[in-house]
Parts: sequence; structure tokens; C-alpha cells
Amino acid sequence: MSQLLEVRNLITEFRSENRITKAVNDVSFSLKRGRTLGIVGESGSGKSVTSLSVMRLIPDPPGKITQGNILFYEKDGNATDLLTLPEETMRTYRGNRISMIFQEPMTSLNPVFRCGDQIIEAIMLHQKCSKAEAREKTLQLLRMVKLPRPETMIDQYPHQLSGGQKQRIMIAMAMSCNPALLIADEPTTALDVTVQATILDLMRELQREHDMAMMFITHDLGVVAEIADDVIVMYKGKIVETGSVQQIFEDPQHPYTKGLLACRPRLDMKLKVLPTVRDFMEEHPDGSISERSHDGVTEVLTRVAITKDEIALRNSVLAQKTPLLSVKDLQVYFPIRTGLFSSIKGYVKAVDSISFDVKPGETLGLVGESGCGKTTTGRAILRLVEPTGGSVHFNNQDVTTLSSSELKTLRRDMQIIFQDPYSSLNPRLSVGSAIMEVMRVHSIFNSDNERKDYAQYLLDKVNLLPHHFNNYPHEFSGGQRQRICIARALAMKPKFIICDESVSALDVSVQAQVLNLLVQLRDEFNLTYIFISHDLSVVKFISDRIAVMNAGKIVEMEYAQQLYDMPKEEYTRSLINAIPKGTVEDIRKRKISQ
Amino acid sequence: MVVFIIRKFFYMIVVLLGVITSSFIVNYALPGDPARVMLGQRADEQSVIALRKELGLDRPKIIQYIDYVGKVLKGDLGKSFTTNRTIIETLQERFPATALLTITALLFSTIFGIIIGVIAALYQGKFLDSGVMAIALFGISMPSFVLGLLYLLVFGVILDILPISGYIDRGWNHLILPSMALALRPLSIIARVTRSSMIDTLSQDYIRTARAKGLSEFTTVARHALRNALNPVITTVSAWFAGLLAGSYFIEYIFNWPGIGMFTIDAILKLDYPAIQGSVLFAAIIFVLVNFIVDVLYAVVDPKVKLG
Repeated sequence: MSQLLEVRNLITEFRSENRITKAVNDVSFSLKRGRTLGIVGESGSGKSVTSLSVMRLIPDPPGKITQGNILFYEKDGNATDLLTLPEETMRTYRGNRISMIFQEPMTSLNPVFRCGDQIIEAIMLHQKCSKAEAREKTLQLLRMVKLPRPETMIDQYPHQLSGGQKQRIMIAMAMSCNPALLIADEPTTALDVTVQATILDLMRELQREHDMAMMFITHDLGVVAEIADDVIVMYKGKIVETGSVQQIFEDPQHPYTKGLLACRPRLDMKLKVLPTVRDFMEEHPDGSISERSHDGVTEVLTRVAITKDEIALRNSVLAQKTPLLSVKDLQVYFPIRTGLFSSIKGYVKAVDSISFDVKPGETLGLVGESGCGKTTTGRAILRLVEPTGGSVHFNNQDVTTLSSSELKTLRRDMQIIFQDPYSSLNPRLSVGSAIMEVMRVHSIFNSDNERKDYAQYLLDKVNLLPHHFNNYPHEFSGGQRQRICIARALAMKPKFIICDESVSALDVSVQAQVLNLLVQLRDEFNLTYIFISHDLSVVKFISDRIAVMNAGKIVEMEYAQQLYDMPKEEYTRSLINAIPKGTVEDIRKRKISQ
Repeated sequence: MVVFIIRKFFYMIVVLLGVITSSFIVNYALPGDPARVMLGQRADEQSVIALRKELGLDRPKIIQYIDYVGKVLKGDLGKSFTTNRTIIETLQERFPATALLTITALLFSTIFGIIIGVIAALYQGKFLDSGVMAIALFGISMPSFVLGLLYLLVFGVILDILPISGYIDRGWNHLILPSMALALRPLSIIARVTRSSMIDTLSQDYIRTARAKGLSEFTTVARHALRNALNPVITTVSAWFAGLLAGSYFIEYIFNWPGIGMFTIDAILKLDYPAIQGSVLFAAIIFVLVNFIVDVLYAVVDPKVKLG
């Protein structure tokens, strides 16, 4: 296989008012024709900047490529340094020899142009052909990416398509000129697992048929295991480890790689706590990294694993308790209004007669794909949306019939933590006042001094420092903000908390810390959780029982391990199969089949 | 699309009825008896009563209201006290002058406002951007009548190259000064709105997609960004359009432009109530009509505007 791309000593800087940040710091790698290179890292690792640098699409200012070569090899072995090309020549590479797909299919297509026209535009730009020919070619491409009804889709606007369909349009656009290199920047991150699985299949298939090289950027090691031949792991702008996908998964060398591999919630074993990156490495103030322990990933995992007996014991204890929350035939219908007088033409049954109990101290996982009704269920329990029918008993009180003043008292006991820690904190309130405000509203404690003491105590409980009390939200990272949200929820001394995708916006290593914190607080404060997530492995780590939802109904409800080991329903099975497991065995199987 | 237009049309009718009703109520909220006001403080009781009867003011309010609505719908806005001509006649006569001035000023400010806004957005944070935006700030802060007087002084008196007063029946060059005086504020605002909307649009993911396709910077900006950035610009332009069509009071007055604005100012100075009421109602109707057209335009520009 011949060489296609070679990146040498690439440095890309971003300038802000008084600082220069090296987002990509002396990165070198190469890629052969027909191979897939996975670039793995967390936010801020420089993986996206690397890919945009190859395309020379770094926004300037503030960004600038200050050093390095990006060599693009022709079939005859001649190389061109993309960084030395004039902009006009570079444009003949973009979308033609090198093309790119992005993370957000929702926003990556221009909303005011028809999908077909956006592909036709790319074809006509790089290939000398008439509009009719380009349209014919677009139809072929839509068929190639397996879109249903290509003749209709070609004339539809992006907002009329689902996320998965839009990503297929993006792929069709990227493939339109038969590129030698496809750069895919988190192409499946915003999609449901089952959709992700089909998109990954499609990309693999297209790559084989067109002998195309791929740079696949992702934070998800599971996805890398499914698609990459070689992997580079990036951390803070630098490559910390390079190797074949087997090497990386079987025998990771760098402590950061080990940490990343270990902190992913797993489906195949149940753990007491998730290992974190910090278990493996220590970062010094000067930026250098040293190893904390020489243990391998498997050794660390076995140390924190829970035995089947321990799980069985906990389950039997929980089973004997009387339920804290009891949901019966809960329905939430949203009317569909159409026509001249906005008359109701039908209902969207977001939640369609579901029933379940939650025992005190238990965590019930609510899992399903987008639009399945899991979030609406959580909100209906708290009456943040009004249920259409059914009952929700909390502590023997029917929540659905309470008056607004009774509801206020009840809200002390029932709290919710949302997905986005960035928008759920008021930017103008210091952390301390945000926590104290809720206590004041609900008259918890008699004086502000006591409230302040308790707020400090809670900050300590969520592993923040006492001086953080006076800081404002923008001074914190995503993980820290989510911990502030947790502290705020705990300020009411609740019995019951709904976590709605509470860790979904966080990096894996941070996600592990927050999940561990939630488990620790549950035991310490005697909390009961409903944990809502689209991510089955996260739900499985934290939950005692899991309810799988689809189209507003509970498809299956079972003890966590049992649900994974012996799913009864076809839907559950398809959901579990679609998850990229990232196990060494799976990688071996894939390599052999190739 | 048809349902969308019918619904918007229906809303427009409702708003229009509201406008007519409030103009009727305002008439009664004004202090004093209209008949007394018409005849003046020294008129004797007899003639006031006679006029009240003639105007139908002695009938129950609800009958008066129905009568009023009926008249307005027929286009009867009453008669002016001072000229003794029907108001609708005068408005019809004067509307073309106002429309000409408005359309000229707005065409100019829209075209140049968008161009300047786009250029400023592309050079965001650089000297060109800050320079242009400083001028725009000046344009927004400067009231049009001050600018009008300034133009009069500079171009009409000192340089003496353009006529300072009168309508185009005395030559097209009469249009230049009033329309330019009128154009600067909307131009500055349109430039600012375009700039911020463009900056927002240029940071969108689909612009990155367009660049990744290999499109030139010009195509990316002109084809992919501009159309997405236009919505707030349409809102601004339409608000100005509706506002100016209702009469640009000061400018018309300063340049002796025989439009609706000048008619209204005359009416106010002479306390000609039916004329004031008529021109206010006319302004409100223009506003509602223009907004209806803009709503339909949104749907054409942005396919995401819900048509259902």
C-alpha cells in the first residue's frame, strides 16, 4: 500500500489577547491509501484542529499553522506540501481529493438550500459536467449511501430529514468526487447508537469499494475499535501514543491511554467505582506526566469489580423495601395542531401508559434513543410537564393532583440535574449564592450563616474547594459545573433525584469522576435516583434496574446485568448489539474478517 | 403556503379591526367635545348642539362605532376642518410623493447597508470594520432633521449645487437631498444588523462545510452565508419601510416635500383633528400591510419558517 498523507512536526497555534496556545504541538503521523487512522482524544486534545489543519480550514485569526509539512502523495509517489500551496490551488484539493464530514449533521448542511443542490454544487465545482449530469450523479450517490426515496430526498430541505439521513447526505457530498482521503470528525457522536452502527457500516463499505483512506476523529474508544486500523492518542495537543488498533487495546503503553481505556463504563463487567485517568497518571504543574501505577487496565478493573453475589445481595435487600416512587399508567400526550384554525388532528404519545416502581436507595436507569420519551417521563414525574393521565405516587402522595403550593413543598424532596452544565447555571450568580438561593427559597435553615456553612460542606462533598464559593460559573470546567449542579440539587436535602443525561456532555475521563461521585453521594445521603441516558453502558454502570423505552412505552425492565446478559426483547437486543464494545476480541474478529 | 397566507391574512384583518377600534376610542379619550373643538371656544350652545346632531355625536356610542367602522371600511375618513376636502382624497394625492421619497431612500440604504455590513463582517476586528462601524454609529446618532438642515447648508447654500426645496415636478435633482437625509439612519442600522447577523452566520457549521467543499470565499459568503443572514435584515428594512411610508415628518417639512408627513404636521399645527386621526389611521394600516407582506417574504427566504 502506498503512502497518501504524511504530517511532519505540525504546530497550530491560537492567539488570544495575551496568550498563544499551541492547540497542535509538534504532531507527526502518516497514513497509507485505503487505511483508517483513528485519532482519539478528549476535548481540547487538538484532534479536530489537526484535521482542520490538514484541510487548511483553521479560522485565521485567531488560528495559524506556524510550523510543519503536510505532504499529500500522488499515486506515482510525488508529494505536494499542502501548506505551501496558494489558496486557489488548495481549493482544488478540498472536497475533491480530500473531503470532510463533521460531527453535527444538524447544523452542517445549509438550511436554505435543498439537500440535492448542495451535493450538485460540489460536483459541478470540481468536475466539468452539466447540471443535469450532476443531478443524475447525485441521485446515484444518494442510492449509494442508502437513503430511502432518493428521488424525493434530493429536493428536500435539511430540516425535513432525520439526523442519520442528514449525515448520509453529508457522506454523499464528501464522496461525490471520489476523494483519496476522507476526514471524518466525530461523524457519529450526535447520532443514536443504532443509527451510529449503520453509518459506521456504510463508511467501512464505502472505504473498501473506493480504496479510500480515512482519518477518523473521535472521543469514543469503542468506535475506534470498530473502524480504525491504526490509532493515535492525543492529549493536550500532543500525540502520546501511536500504534495499531490491536496494540493500543491489548497493550497500551502510555498511562493516559490506559486511563482512557479503563474509565469507559463497560457492559461486560459491573464495577464498584470507575477507574479514572488520575489512577494511572499524574500531571505536574510544568505539564510533564508521570505514571502512578504500573498496573495494566485489566488488573485495575478486576480490583474494582463487583461479584455476582454482591449484586444479588443488594438486589434482594432493595426488593423487600416499599417503593418510594410509584408510577402507574403515566401518559403524556402532545396535541398536533394543523390547518387554518390550528385544530387538533391527533396526539404525539410521548409517554404512553408506563408503570414502574422505584425503591428507596435504588437507581433506576431509563434508557432509549432520542425521541423515545425518557426525558418527558422524568419531567412528568416532577410535573415540569403536565401528565395527560395516570398517577405518580411519591411517599404515598399523588403528585399529579397536588396544588401548586403543595408541589413546592414536594419539590424539596424531588430534584433534577440536567444535561448541559453550561446553561443550567445562572452566569451572574456566584456558585455560593446559587446554592444558598435554593435553600432560602425553601426556608432550609434559619440564618444565612448556617446556609453558608452547609453550602461549603456540600462543595467539599462534590470535591470542590471552599474558595470556589465566591467564584462564578464561567471560571469552571464542564465537569466542575456539573458538580456544582449536583451540590445545588443536594442543598434541598432531597430524597430523590432525576439525572437527565447528566454526564452526556462530559468527556469520558470527567464522566467517570462524576459518575463515581453520584454513586458515592447516593450511599452517603441515602438518595434514590432515576438515571436517564441514551448511553446503555453508562446506565448499566450506575443502575440497579434498567427500563428500556421505545416510542413512549417501556419495552423491557430488568436487573441491569440480566438485561445485558439475556435481553428478552428484540429491541433491547438490537440496542445492545449496536453499541461499539471496544473489546480486544471484537477487534480480532474484525481483523480476521478483513 | 396557501393556508399560511390565508392565516396571516386573517390575523391582519383582526389587527386592522383593532387599529380602527382604538382610533375610535382615542377620539373619545381626547379632552373636550369634538363639536366644541371644531367650532371654537366662543361658539354659542345652539350651534354646538346643531353640529353634534349633524355629526351624529348625539347617538349611542355603539351606533357611532358601527357607523365609524363602516365609513372607514368604505375609505371615508371624514373631512378636514381646514381645507374642507375629504381626507382620503388628500392622502391619495400626497401618497405618491411620500412613496417615492421612501422607496428611493430605502433602496439606497438597503443596498449599501448590506454591502457595508458584509464587508465589515468579513474584516471583523480590523481597521476597516471599526472605521465603518464608527461612521455607522454617527449615522444612527444623528437625527434626520439635523442632517437635513446640514445638507441644506452645505449642498444647497455653501456649495449651491442642489436645490433645497420643492418636489420633482421642478426637476429630479430635488429628490437627492431629502432622500439622502432620510437614508443615512436606516443605512447605518441596516449595516450594523447585517454585520452582526453575518458574523453569526459565518461561524456556523454549514459555512465550514461550504469551505470544505472547496468553494471560493466569494461563493461561500455571497451564496451560503448572505441568504442565511438576511432574516433580521428584512425585519429592519420592513420596519423602516412601514415607518417612512407613513410619512417622514421632519424631512418632508424641511424640504417642503408635498407628502403625507407634511400634511400631518400641518394638521397638528392647525389642530385639525379629523386630519390627524385620518393620517394616524392611515399610518397604522400601512404598518399592518407591510408586516403582512414581510411575513410572507420570510417564508420565501427561509424554508424553515413553519407553513402549516
